[in-house]
Amino acid sequence: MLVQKRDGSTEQFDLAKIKQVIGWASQNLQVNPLQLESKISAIFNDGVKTEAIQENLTYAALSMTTAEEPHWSYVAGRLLMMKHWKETDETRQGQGFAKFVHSQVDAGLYAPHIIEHYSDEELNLAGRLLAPERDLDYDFAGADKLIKGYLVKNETPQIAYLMCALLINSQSKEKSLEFVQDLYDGLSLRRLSLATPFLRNLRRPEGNLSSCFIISMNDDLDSIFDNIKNFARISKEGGGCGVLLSNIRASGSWVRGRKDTSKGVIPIAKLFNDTATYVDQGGTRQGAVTLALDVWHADIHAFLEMQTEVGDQRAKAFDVFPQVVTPDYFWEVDGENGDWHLFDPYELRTVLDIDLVNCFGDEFVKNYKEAVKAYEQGKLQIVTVVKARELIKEIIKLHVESGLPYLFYKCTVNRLNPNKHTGIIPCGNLCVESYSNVLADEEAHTCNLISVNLANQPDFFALEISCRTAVRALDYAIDLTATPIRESNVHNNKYRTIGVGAMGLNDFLAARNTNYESGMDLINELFEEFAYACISESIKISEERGAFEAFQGSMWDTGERIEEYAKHASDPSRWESLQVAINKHGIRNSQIMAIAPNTSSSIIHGCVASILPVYSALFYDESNHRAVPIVPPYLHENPLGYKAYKHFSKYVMNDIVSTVQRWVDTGISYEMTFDLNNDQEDAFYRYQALRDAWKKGIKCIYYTRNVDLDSSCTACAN
Amino acid sequence: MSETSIIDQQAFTNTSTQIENPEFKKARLFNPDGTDELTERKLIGGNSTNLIQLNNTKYKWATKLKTTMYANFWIPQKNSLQSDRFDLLTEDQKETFTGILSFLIFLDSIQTANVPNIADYITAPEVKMLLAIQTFQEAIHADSYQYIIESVIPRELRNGIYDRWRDDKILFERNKFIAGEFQAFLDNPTEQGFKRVLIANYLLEGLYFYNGFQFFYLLAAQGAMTGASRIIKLINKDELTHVTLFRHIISETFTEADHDWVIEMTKKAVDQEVAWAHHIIGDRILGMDKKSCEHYTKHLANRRLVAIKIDPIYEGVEENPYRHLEERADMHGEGNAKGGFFTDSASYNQSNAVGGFDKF
Ligand SMILES: [Fe+2]
Ligand SMILES: [Fe+2]
Repeated sequence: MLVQKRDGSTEQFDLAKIKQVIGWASQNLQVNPLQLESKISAIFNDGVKTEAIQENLTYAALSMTTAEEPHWSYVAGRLLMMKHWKETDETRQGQGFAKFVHSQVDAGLYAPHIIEHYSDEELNLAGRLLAPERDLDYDFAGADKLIKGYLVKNETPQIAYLMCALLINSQSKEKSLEFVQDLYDGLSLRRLSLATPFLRNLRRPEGNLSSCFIISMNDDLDSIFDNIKNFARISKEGGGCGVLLSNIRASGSWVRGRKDTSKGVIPIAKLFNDTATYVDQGGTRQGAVTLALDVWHADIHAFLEMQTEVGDQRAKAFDVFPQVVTPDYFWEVDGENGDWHLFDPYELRTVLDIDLVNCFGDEFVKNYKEAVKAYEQGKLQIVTVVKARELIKEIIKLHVESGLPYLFYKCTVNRLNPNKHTGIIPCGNLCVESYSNVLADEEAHTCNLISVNLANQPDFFALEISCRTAVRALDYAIDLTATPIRESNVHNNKYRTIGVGAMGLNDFLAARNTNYESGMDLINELFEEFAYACISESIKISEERGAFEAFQGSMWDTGERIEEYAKHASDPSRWESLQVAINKHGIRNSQIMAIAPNTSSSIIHGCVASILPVYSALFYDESNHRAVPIVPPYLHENPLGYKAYKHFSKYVMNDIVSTVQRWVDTGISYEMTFDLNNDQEDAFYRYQALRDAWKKGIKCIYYTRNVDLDSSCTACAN
Repeated sequence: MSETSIIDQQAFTNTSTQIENPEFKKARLFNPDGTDELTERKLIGGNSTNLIQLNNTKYKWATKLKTTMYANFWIPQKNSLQSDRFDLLTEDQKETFTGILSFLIFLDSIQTANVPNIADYITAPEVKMLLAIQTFQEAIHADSYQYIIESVIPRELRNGIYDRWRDDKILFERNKFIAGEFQAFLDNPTEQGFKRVLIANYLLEGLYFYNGFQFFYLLAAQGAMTGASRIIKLINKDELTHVTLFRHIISETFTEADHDWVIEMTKKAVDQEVAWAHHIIGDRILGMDKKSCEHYTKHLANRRLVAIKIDPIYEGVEENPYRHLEERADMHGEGNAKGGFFTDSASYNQSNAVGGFDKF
């Protein structure tokens, strides 16, 4: 039998070669290579191409992946990487790193600033850091995602990481390679994970780096359409966007003095919806936007119905992610099963000169009560009175149906806003973990993200290096490229918001033979160290380069922010000395930590996403490009360490998240997972879980996932 | 025409060996003399008033199944197909993709038309109601295939897909087998014919769709046609409730005396499904081949038979060769399929999927 090689020539089929490849890919893994060999007999026929053999082997290994034999996915990953290596042979055996970089720049694949910043000698020196064998540590899902979604033509993963490290370091004042080494090691040992825009765009010409934006619009035509354009530009660059709609007058409100003329927020929501589907980065990824509306807004019902199947299809916006902003007072009113008033912000502004958007806490309560009083005196026309609880029921129904809307606990967020002295945080970003002051048409929240992979931190010392490297990389990155909109630049200069996240907490615990329930103290200790290291590094950079512009009067400046930390600290004096350092040097970034969902990057890293328990010990990822088995890294060693999320009490989950939240100065993308097959987890349970989250100081609820009803078996009962 | 008459004869021969039940007739529509007493209630040949009174049901499984069917409600248009790229499929995949669609759209069109014929003879209102929900779902399915065809397939190929059920010989043969059973019963409504229709339907919903479904999941596993695959997953969820429904109807009305002819029909359905899968999937698709299609079909047939209390008829097929694909689609509520954030919600339910709203 003949096989056809990559270059078109043929040779005699050699089974020994195949066995060799399988043996190589199985090295040091807990699998039986013979099992894979037995799967392949069917795929050979005369003239088969070597690529086809390789592809078949990879796919066969993949299909053998189970919770009992998880390592097959690593075999498949290596086979895939081997194929990729073959395709980049020239790169790997080339004549030094500098030459490679030049050829990439010449071909228009890399932006030229790399060779403007570094001499050939420096590049070749950096090239020595490359550790190619680290390419072989990926499972299939990780390797596939990385190769398909992130690598530039001719690159291997290691080259991509080194390039990112070099480019971020180009903002460094010193030319030393010390930081390059730290960052490269962090990335290539998968202790640090760059957010998607970084890892994908940094090396390319005209690549934007920012992940998260929040924009807000005023209640006039120019502002509305300017912000649609802003959103389009953000989407074009691959950023996720939050948009506050609460300033917009409600349906039935006045336009040019005529009542019943305004169409409210829904048509605007639809414009954002269609902009998101139009600006899709050449078909690769739709624009992504969360539209936020305050729970007191008169259009809240229509807003909640925006994504249900029933009703007028013209009032539907299926491609956006709704978010409901709730103040403390809303939950307090619900606690007494009281009435809740829905207002038109335009009428409040024009008749009463009250603004419910730019306030929180006591000030909100005062304004809200004043509006209620005015209504009772007959001064307001567009008011609806509902039970607060009915609105919550409505939200829970939607959670069951579509996993949305997100919930934003506005007062909790703003009480801990370090920049209360200059503004307000009106809503969350796309993944509700990153937010800061936003001012309509003037300042847009802008944030970059890097996550620390807890699964791969051998000890707290390594963790500290990872955190410090992450903070520095993010701060450098702010100055690396222009942002897509003007409001971002203003914000960047003023606040220098960054977000160091964490993922692989489940793995961290499993590797240490503990779990969420009994490891609560360890979790607390871990995140205290995490916060301490991040804040320390931001102070150090401030010492070198100065504090963020709005530092004076911020909670960092007044000492309130550190006080909050010291309250919970194992050793408060350590935190107090941090404050001394802040008083002396300031701090570089007004917000530093934010725990993102990391859905994609956790797959590249082969760890459990975010700080939450694994979805299930083996599941199939269905994000855009592939649907492949995902197995957590320590499953083989500690299968009991991976209890599926659905088996956790939501009260316990709230405890875990609020413990972590103490240390994380911005937010956490907190996904809640409910099991529809579990009768205990009914609507009332969900209601209690949401209230419990609010009481425990959780800032937001991100996606609500539902484990589906078992269609084949619900009727097996009799 | 001549083909149909052969089937008629076949149906006739089969029924002629049975003693006819004089009570076998369509349920009356307006039946003031009927009774709603549970002791008198029968699935078939009963004397119901047709009043749907769900706090007074004999078949408790029906109420539970109703909740599941409601909870599954969905419409295809909510699932975006914008990222599905037909042009990126290999020629073989394209051929299989369109071939399977033309089969599926025919099946669900027939189902939409035929389920009411079955419902006509059912005299338990709680079960009749489920058949009405099923009919609606079948219409949604046919619409879904059309939505996929119109959204992802180039214009010049579309008509070919709609016409193929007549043009493709193998496809025509197998459609004739099932639809012929349905037609034979309409032409000559005997009790035995009705039972054959029940089995034909059970096999259609429990066996026929599945190699096709797996192909979609396979494509998704390889990163292609993920939007279409998501819709198929929703259809698959519905179909499993239909299988459950017919499993119950069959279990309530069949006896051991029926086993032989049921097995015979199952074998024929298996042969047809295998022939079709070999024809349309063959050995040209990475990740599926003739051998595994046959193995899977037989494995599934055993499972369906066991569910209606008949012993497995195929040996050596205990293992499911497409387990990795089925797990991916999470058909059993194990929560092992997780949609990525940027995709449409991969699974959604109606809010009645949970109770407890009255507790607060
Ligand atoms: Fe159907
Ligand atoms: Fe069906």
